[in-house]
Amino acid sequence: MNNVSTSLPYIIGAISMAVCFLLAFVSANMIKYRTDHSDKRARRVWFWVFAALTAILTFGICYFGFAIGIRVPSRQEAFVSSSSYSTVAFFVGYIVLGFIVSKIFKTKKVQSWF
Amino acid sequence: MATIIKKCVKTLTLASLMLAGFNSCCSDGEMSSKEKLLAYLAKDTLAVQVSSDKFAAYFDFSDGMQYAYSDDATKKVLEGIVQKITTHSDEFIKYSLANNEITELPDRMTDLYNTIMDPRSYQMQNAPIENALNQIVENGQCAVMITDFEEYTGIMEKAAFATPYFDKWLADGNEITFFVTDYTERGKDKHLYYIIFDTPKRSLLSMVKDGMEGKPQNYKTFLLSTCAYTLNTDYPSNSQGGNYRDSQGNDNVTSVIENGDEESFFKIDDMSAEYYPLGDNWNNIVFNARSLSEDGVPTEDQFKHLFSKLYLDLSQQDSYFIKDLDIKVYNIEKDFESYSNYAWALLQKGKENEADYYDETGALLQEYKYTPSQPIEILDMLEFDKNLFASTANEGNAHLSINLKPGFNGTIVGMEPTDMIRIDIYIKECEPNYDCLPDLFQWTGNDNLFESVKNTLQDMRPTGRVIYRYFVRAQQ
Repeated sequence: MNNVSTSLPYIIGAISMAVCFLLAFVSANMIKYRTDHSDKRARRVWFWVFAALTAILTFGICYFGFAIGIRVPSRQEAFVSSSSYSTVAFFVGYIVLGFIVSKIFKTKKVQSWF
Repeated sequence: MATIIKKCVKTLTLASLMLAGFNSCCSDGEMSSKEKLLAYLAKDTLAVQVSSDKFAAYFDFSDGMQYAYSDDATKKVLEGIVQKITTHSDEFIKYSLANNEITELPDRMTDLYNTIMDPRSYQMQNAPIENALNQIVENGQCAVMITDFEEYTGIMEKAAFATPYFDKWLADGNEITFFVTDYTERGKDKHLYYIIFDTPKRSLLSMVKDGMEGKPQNYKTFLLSTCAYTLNTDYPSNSQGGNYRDSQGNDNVTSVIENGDEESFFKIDDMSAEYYPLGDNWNNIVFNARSLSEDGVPTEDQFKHLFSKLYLDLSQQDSYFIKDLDIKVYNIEKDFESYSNYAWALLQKGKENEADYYDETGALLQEYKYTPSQPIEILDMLEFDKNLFASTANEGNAHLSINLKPGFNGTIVGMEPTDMIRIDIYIKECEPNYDCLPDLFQWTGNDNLFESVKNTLQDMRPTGRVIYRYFVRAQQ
């Protein structure tokens, strides 16, 4: 485990972001239009739930799945650093992606996100 | 999903390994680190300590010696030694010392023992002991000398005449072992000496000892040597060294490469040298060391020493008491690189790409010539653990260890991270052991041998002598 690459957190982050974004997108489309417009709020809530999940998944998998098993202190520290950067980067990336998509598809359900 | 992650991890690690491989490969050719270091160590070793494979045996046939051989126990010991010499007679040149002459004894000497035992052999005077010593040292030949060490030059020679010869023999890196028996000659207390001049390999000494095996031990021994200390190690296996290890056996500080291949750790016993290719850079190593020496770490895993588990056996203290050791750290990269290129170029002579290394006249190209560089001493990086040495020295087996200096943060001004460094463990302070000398080397009215041995001990004090070396190289 000591030789795990410090690029791995970025891969994990990218995948987490992709997965969570896909789920957010699907969930947005699954929420039906309601007459009292509370569906917009529901879609927004789920958007942020999956945003948080991106961060939690990324850091969680990196830390509990890999960092804990690294016994060499300097490498563990480097991996945790990487994991932190990845978590922040892909959390922000998710939001930016969500913003762009919601503006592109102005007439679709995802428009509710922003 | 999991397979994708695994594949990505695999490609990434493979890529980084390949990169590491290209970095560690030498710039010119393919000598492995092990080959380079062996060549480098060989260049400084004294090639020849003795100039002859044959041994010599000198027997004192001067008047008085017959009294030495009158004792039964001595007879048996002598018989054992002479037996060995006659069995290996083609390895020995035998001489008699008498009448101021060194006379070669006939090869076929089946009755050598009887001749020695016969009191009629001792009609002569004046064994030329000093000349014999001179011959031994001049010839550079391992020898056995059996004598009472009384030199008679008109008068009884009481000056310390043996000192220069003992000095020279020891200066060449060799040893002298004395077996001493007491006897009485016409009321005078004297000593019979079996003196073995030998190399540290002790081939002659073990032959003589074999001959004395099973015989009465009516003798005392004394080893006159500047290199009588033995070092031993307590490493987990042949391919592993004394670098830090936790209770599971993992090196999480220096990550020394220990897989047994040509680029990994190795130890050379007869050169007292070890090579540590570290798997990390000095900055990380210092970080790791600090992290693992914190209070929260379980005691059995705590980092204390960078290198340890090397022991100095202090029980053999015949000649010198080793009082204190210390280390000096050197950056030898320039000298090592230059010599490695030279050694590689030498190997290319007569091969297809010879033209890359030699010019038309067959002379070595300038860039491959070896230009020795002075090693640069590195201060403030590592230190010798004096407390551990002092506390374990009392028990006879001193524990030698090397620690990181507290102020060291991973970088040394003027040193590249991957420079080869050499850690020399040397004798800082030692004292001759005078206590047993009078009993062994003095006899009624004659101090010459006592003074000689004492002078030699003082002259040849091995202060500053390097007893062990670590060669260490870290990563980028």
